[in-house]
Amino acid sequence: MKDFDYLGKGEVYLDGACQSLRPRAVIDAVNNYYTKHNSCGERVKYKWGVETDDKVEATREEMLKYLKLPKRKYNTSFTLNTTYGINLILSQLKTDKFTKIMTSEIEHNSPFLASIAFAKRAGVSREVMKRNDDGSIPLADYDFTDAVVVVNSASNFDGRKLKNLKELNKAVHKAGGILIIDAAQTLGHAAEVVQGIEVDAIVTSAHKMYGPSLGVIVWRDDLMDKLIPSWLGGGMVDDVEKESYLLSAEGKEHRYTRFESGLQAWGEIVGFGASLKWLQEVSKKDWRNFKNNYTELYEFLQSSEKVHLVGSEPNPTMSFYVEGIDSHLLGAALSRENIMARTGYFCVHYYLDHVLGLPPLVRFSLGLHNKPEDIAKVKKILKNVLK
Amino acid sequence: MVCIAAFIILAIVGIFVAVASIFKPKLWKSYTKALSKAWGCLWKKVRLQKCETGFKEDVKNGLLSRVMLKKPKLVKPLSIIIEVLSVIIVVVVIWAILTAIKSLLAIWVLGSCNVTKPSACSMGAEMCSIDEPEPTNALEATGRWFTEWGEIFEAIPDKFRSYNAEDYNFNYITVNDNATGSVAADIFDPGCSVCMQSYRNQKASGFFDQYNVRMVPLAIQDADNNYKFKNSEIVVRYMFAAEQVRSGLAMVLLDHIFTDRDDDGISYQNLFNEEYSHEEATAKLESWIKAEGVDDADVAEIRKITNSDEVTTKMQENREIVENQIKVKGIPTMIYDGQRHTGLYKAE
Repeated sequence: MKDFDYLGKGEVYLDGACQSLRPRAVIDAVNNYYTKHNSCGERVKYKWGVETDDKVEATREEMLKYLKLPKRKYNTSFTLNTTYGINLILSQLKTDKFTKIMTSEIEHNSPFLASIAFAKRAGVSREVMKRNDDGSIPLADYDFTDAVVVVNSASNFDGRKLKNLKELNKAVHKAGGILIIDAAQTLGHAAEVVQGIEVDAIVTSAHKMYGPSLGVIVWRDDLMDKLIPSWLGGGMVDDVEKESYLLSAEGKEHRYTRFESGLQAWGEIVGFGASLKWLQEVSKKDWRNFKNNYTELYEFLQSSEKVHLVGSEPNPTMSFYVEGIDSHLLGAALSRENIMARTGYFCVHYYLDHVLGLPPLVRFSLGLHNKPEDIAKVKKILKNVLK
Repeated sequence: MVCIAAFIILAIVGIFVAVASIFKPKLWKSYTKALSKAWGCLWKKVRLQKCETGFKEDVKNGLLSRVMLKKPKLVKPLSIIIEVLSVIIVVVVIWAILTAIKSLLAIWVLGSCNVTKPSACSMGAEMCSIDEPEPTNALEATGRWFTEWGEIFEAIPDKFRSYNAEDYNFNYITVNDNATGSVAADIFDPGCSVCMQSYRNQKASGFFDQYNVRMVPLAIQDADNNYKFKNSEIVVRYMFAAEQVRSGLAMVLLDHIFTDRDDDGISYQNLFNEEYSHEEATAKLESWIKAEGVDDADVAEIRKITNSDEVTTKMQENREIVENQIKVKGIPTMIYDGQRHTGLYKAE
């Protein structure tokens, strides 16, 4: 794609699951903010500020449109990243409303650790649910009564998706619980998994969606009643007296401020708006090429007897280890050939190390920037290594 | 040699980095960063925690990643070699650190960095060592390495205690009957060149006038009871025997050995150690005794006493006190002013 024309010849970036490459449109939007209308959003009246406000508001709306969620029920708040967003919610949840917290075994440390912290803080039990090979949760095996459920909608090591998210949402709400979705690995390439499903909160990272470094919380209005205000500060109130305050979030118009304490990363929010537009304008042909690329690479890895893949179906993200070869060493060798791939446990220590007992892995996570030549190069080098 | 080797290994790493840092300042930063990472990983492993990627992996990957691309089949054997080397390096460095600590402690406590064989330590005090038998195999050497730690720690309290020459039941010869100062003991071997120099220094500095010095003769023996210096046993026996017949005679003999030279200018100590047979040594000692006006009958009496059980017992008693009570690793060892001093007496 021409949007990634800054990539050097032979440079193959395969770490989109950590951070996508940014298309020109996003880089231009951020630069434009810094050079044309650098200003504090939502508190100034001058021309530059008004322009920033317009773009930030448009980004909030664009996000809801992207997720196919109704504006009257949902809000878009910005934060640092997914981990930060999940912790912002869990650390403010009222503890008397819930009897347990549930997560799943294939989670990133982001929800996994935050759920441990919540269980300790609230003095409630914690349950780690199984995930089927296709990513779904065996709902019949679990009781969601008054539970806080925090799970991903796609894993960060093999891309398996939460295929029964709709059913899970129904089951959790029916049992009086709430559902928080870690959509960090979903919204860049598989937004359809969460689109239109009215969960309590979707937390994600713009930097895994071709946007700048930014966290996003999309959350339902009624979540507000379940929170105690403990993260407060600038940009969150309409009025302050000596011992009291009036939260701006009380009014629907500024509800998003509930999670936005202090000055926000306005340039990044503006850039994220551009990435959302860009994502929606990616052609069918480019999506097809993307799918062909990751499928080809997955099938190549699957065909080798020495390669042990973790996932059971082609996904943009795939993790594996090669028999007899240290993954960190393989990563270093690939790096020598300008192939950028992550190695280790990718913050999924519990499942990969302790449940599956796997050695450190190599992860290829492809993006829309990858070309067929990239795949050919990776295959060529791996063929030599696997000989 | 052992302690020097340990110091060398530790010094090489530090010196190399320090010198190289002068020409490449960033090296120091990367060295400390690597060291910090290595320490962080080691600290985790010590606490039985996981260290996903550490210093060793970084170094290994840096070395092998190129090989993996060019000759993947060589990666496994090279990786094993690196693993083995890294184990050897770790073992050697730990050994070097522990040996360096042990040697420093031994120098401080015992006056020699080599506990078993003080003569092998060039870093310790100038002295004639009282060596123990050397280990004959690796197992013995390993066991010895550990028992030396015990010896060192056992001797640490002695470093802080006060000594009194009169507390030990030495068999001694008084240097100066008229000396009125506090009692000092001086353990010496007539064949020991450091004892000779020490004696000369003491004499020149007035030490023998200042203190009531008790000279404690000791003919150093190894574990097999062989004498370290060829004629020391004969000299010590004659000193005890002569002193028994006439007070002052023993010091005359010692003074000749430690301060006199023959007509060719060779010191008598050297002649007793290197040239004289036992018979020649005996003849020379008796000639010095006669020169003091002792008649033939008394000389015969002295000769008789030298081989007596009484003298043998005196020598054994001194050895027992020196090796097992005071536990010195070398002589001359002097006890005065509440302290024990091993090594050459240096005149102020």
